[in-house]
Amino acid sequence: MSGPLRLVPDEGTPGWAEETMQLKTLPRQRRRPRLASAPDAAPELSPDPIDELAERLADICADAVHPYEIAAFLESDGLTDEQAALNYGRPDAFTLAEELYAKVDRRYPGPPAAAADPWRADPWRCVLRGLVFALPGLGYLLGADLFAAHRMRFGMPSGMAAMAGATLLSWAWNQALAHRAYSWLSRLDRRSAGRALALGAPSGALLAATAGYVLGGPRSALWFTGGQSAYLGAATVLLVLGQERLLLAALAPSVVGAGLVLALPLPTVVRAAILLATLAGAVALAGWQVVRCLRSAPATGGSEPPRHEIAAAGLFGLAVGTLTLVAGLGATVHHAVRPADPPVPGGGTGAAMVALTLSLGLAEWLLYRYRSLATTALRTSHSPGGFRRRTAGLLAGCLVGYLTAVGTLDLAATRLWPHTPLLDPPRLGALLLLAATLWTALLLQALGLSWRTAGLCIGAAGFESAALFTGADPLRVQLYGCGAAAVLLFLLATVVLGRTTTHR
Amino acid sequence: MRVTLLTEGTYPHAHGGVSVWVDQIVQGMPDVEFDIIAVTGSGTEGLAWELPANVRNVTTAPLWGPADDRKPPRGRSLKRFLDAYERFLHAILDPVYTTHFGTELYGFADYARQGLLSSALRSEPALKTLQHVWTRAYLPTAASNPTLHDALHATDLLEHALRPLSVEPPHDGVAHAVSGGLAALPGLIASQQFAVPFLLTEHGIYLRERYLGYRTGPYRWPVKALLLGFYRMLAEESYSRAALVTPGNRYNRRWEERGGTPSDNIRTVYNGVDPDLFPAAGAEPATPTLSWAGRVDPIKDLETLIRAFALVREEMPDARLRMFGGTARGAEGYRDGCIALAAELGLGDSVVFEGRVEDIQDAYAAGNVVMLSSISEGFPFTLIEAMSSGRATVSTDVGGVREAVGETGLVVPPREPAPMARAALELLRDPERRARMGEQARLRVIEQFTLRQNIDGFRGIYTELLGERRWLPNTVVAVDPVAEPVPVPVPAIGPAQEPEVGYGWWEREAR
Repeated sequence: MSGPLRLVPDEGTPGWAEETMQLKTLPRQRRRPRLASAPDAAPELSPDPIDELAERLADICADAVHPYEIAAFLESDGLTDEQAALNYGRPDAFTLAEELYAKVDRRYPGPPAAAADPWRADPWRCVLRGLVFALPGLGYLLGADLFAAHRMRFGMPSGMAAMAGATLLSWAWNQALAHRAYSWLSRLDRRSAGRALALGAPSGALLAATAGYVLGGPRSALWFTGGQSAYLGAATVLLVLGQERLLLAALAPSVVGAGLVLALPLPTVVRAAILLATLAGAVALAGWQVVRCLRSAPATGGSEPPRHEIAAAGLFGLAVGTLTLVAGLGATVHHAVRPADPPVPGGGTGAAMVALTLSLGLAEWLLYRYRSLATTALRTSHSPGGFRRRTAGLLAGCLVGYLTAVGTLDLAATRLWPHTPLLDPPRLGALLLLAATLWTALLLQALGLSWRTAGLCIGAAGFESAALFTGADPLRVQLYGCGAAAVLLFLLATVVLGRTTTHR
Repeated sequence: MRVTLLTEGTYPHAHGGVSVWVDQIVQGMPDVEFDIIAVTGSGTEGLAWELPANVRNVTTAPLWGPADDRKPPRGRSLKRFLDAYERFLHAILDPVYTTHFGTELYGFADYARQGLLSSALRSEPALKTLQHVWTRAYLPTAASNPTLHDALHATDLLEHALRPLSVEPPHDGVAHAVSGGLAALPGLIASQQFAVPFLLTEHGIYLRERYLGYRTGPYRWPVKALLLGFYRMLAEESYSRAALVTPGNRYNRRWEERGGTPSDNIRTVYNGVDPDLFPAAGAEPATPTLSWAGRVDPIKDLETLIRAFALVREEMPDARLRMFGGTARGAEGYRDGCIALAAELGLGDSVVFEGRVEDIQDAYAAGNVVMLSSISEGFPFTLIEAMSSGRATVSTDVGGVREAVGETGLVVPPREPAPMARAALELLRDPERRARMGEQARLRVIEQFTLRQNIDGFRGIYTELLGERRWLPNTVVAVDPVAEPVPVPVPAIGPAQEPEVGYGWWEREAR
């Protein structure tokens, strides 16, 4: 239909344009004033009929922003200049509208009660995502004896370097891939998202597996590395397309298998079969989902997501992966670099990593929560200063909440993990600083500050790896690296999130 | 002769409404070269009309989609923009400052064509400026206590509304806006910067429609005040800068005069139909039938028509109501509501939605009387087509309906079923009277409302506007009579070299 356009395609609620012209919600027959017929009343001046009109149109007049608005309404209601003169003694509809506008006080209703919160997060979905982030860890339990622990390579258990290298590459690649696919999805182009995933996920898996092969290790460990690379690609596909349930289903064999491993010794063949079952499930489900995407209707003319942002996302993935690996494998690497040094106590790291991965679901929920609360703050703030203070408070609150959760999860994991000592304060500190870095970085990333976030994280990651490989104490390395990153990211966040325009 | 047609949400990307008339104009003057600047939604819409050879090119000015993500201006340049923005906002929000609107708008056009306007408007300092300005105690918005969310919302909408400023305006010929509002933006720039005569045709009143549309829109008061303030100032600027304003009917003049158009600059040009395409429809149907033609849309108020028909049927149980035409996009719910209403009133098979028809003449021929129940109209084609077909009509007293019908049909108040039913019954019961009215209606169309007259009218106007070698806008700035006389700036001719061009006198005064 031709006619004036909406300024933005989703302006208003669905059907708004339709409601626009539905004036029938108003009382009908409101045009002609009823003649006052009260013969027994005291003979006073006859009332101005405009009073009655103002009363009947009170809502319209109170909400009006200009007399024109009332004039437009009166006209649409059929009032002509002749009627304005005849019934109300005013020269035209405009004058009548002006008088009504002056007569009725404006009213300013608050925000609509049913203002939809675009950032409402489903807590169950976040739990589900936390689970699918953490459960793959069980794969290591099942695959533990695929790594020949008695042979060493690069001063580490053989195969570990290959594993670490491939994991890092996978993280970086898949982060970039996910960003690209999400960008297509946000342009409502499922087909292009599907194409990006169909090409990106297998090539990422191949790349990571090749890197693992080049770094070398026992054949079984390399098979495991290859399998993991493929799994991570498939998991990325399922997570981006919002199919957490399918991923959980694919993980089911591993969960059952891990339970069995704890109870009775399983032969390697059975363990490998269990891992393969999970892998096959994940890859098949991901393939199915991608095919569904590719079959969806082509979208018209969306622009390509900017490449530099995808690069930033990849770098961010690499940095975060490195920081996490340093936390997990720092002691081992240190031992490899400085075999002569007394061994760094490494107990409790496993529990800490489990706590961290489990907390990622909560981290996501808190990201949503933060954005929701920040939107509320926008709706209630009247000055930029007040908004800045509010968002800083919110940021601190969410961060403290997240760190508390990570600490609690770590405590719980330590209790459940056999023969694990509690983390001492510096190591707990390092864990919390890593968690703070991760969460703040994720928040900034989500708000589109991709390069600054990636830059800070990659700086910290570079510093940590360089220091670690030159033989510095892994704990101090983490405290300094993550500490600096967390502080800088927090400061950046308070400044940037204090800006109103960040939250549009 | 070259003419740039400026459209919004219509020709050549959408059917219906004004686009029919634009097509007639373009087809009717094969010797005139037309360019089209079309304000569209996404910019990826396909063409809905086949373009004749004399349409040289179509430029789209999309409103939607992500903003240009260029870096906003910095330093002194940003400061200058923010000062301009503050004056612009004052012009919109405070009736005292209205004179600045045009000046700043033309300055914004320079920013827009450098690709800086969107990013500048979306910047944090611009948002702070808005929040600062509209919370000032002397402005009406202050009382509504606007929040930062309102500021963000209003800024975003304003940024979208101003996007057509980035289009390269025509440098010669006539700039002819086929509606007020955003379509006029490139025309205003062309007039200010290249002294291109700006012609504004209004079939409806864009500003009135915006006021009606935003009345129930999802906006808080200050957001609505800012946006409608913008549209109001845009209308006033268009009215005062236009070389000529041509409403489609006399009724619409009122808004144009109210909006500051000098009376001498208003010339009513009626729409027309080709009487050969709508010949006398001939024999009437045997069963008493009311027919309606148009696009099913809430503005057509079919509910009143159905209710009126229910009253007719109480008197004439064999009467029928046939409605012809497709459903407007998004109005499917409305149509279903109408069908449900007819069922509720127990009208059964006597009310029929016939859907789209191949030949619309059949729709007029299908009725003994043709009905028009709209709550708002300009100068409706369906009415003059029905008249050309020689049918008597009952129509609601909106827009230019009275001017169109004259004495050749009955006119009733809108949204009132009872008088509409009475009028319909009157005509249904008096075959002689309606035959006489139908005959007179056709004559009236041939005499006053033919397509040829409409096209020749506009051809004459184009020639007239291009006849003056150097056309100058009649008023550029309203000068405060108390202050020192301010020199009226000569419009800059040739492309602007510096962003200051649009600032002219204000900058000089400020220093």
